[in-house]
Amino acid sequence: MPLRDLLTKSPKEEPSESAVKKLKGEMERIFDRIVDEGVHLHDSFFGSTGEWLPAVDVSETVEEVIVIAELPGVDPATLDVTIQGQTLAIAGEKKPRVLASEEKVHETGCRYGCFIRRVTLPVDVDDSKTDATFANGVLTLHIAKVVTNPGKRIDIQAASAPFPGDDPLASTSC
Amino acid sequence: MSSTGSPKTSPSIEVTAPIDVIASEQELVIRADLPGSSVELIDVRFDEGTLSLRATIPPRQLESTAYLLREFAPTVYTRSLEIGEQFDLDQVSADYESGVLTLRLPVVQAKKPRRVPITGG
Repeated sequence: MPLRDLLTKSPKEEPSESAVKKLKGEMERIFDRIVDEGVHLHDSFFGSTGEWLPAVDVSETVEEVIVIAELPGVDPATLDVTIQGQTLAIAGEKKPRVLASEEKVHETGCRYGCFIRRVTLPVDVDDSKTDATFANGVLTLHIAKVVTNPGKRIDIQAASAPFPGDDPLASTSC
Repeated sequence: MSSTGSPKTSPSIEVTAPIDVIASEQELVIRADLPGSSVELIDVRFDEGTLSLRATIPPRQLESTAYLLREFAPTVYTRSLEIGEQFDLDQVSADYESGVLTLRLPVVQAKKPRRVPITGG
């Protein structure tokens, strides 16, 4: 159950014990990350939508941007990864298992449903040079940065003769 | 900025593993989200009716990685569940796929009561 489902309940409606336990687990996870890693909340919780938000790491090297997303139980064939400008979006769905009639759920701590996770990339990237792998529920994207032209140095030729009025013996300073 | 350097040495955080528990008359199914672990790094034990789970999620990048956004830390997922003694532990199956561990514990099927025929004169 997403957090927002808990928050939109009417005051008279008491959340179930399992829902409270789940909320507590989510809060502990968030605070663990804030304390241990200094998570940027504004990047983590805004600009993305869905029933759950996959955790992501974004890092860079000189040549590329690396995005790693935790997607346990998600079929990689159903993932939709797009790059538009400097925005990367990872969209997909983690489908819950269909229960047989005789099965009873005792606890649901895993997260299911649709998600869209957007990440702002630090630089322009070349989306034609992207490498994506999915292993053990973790998506890893290597996205090449756009190689910017450093500019061409223009050599300046010294004049063959001094300008009229120039004193060739005068020293220069700058 | 570069991602070359020595392996990450930052300590792991210990987190309660998120699990689903589904029961039927035939079996108990426990599913745990453990993204980034591996079969070698997952330990499941049964002891006196208690199931214990421990899974290590190792660092994914090097110490010198230049992070722009970081939401993941090396993690040890743990979980302990009192499940009782009614399961056939010799027939338990464990499967780790796409970052999800699935345990299936078959219920020991109680032998049906048998009527004892009485003979007499």
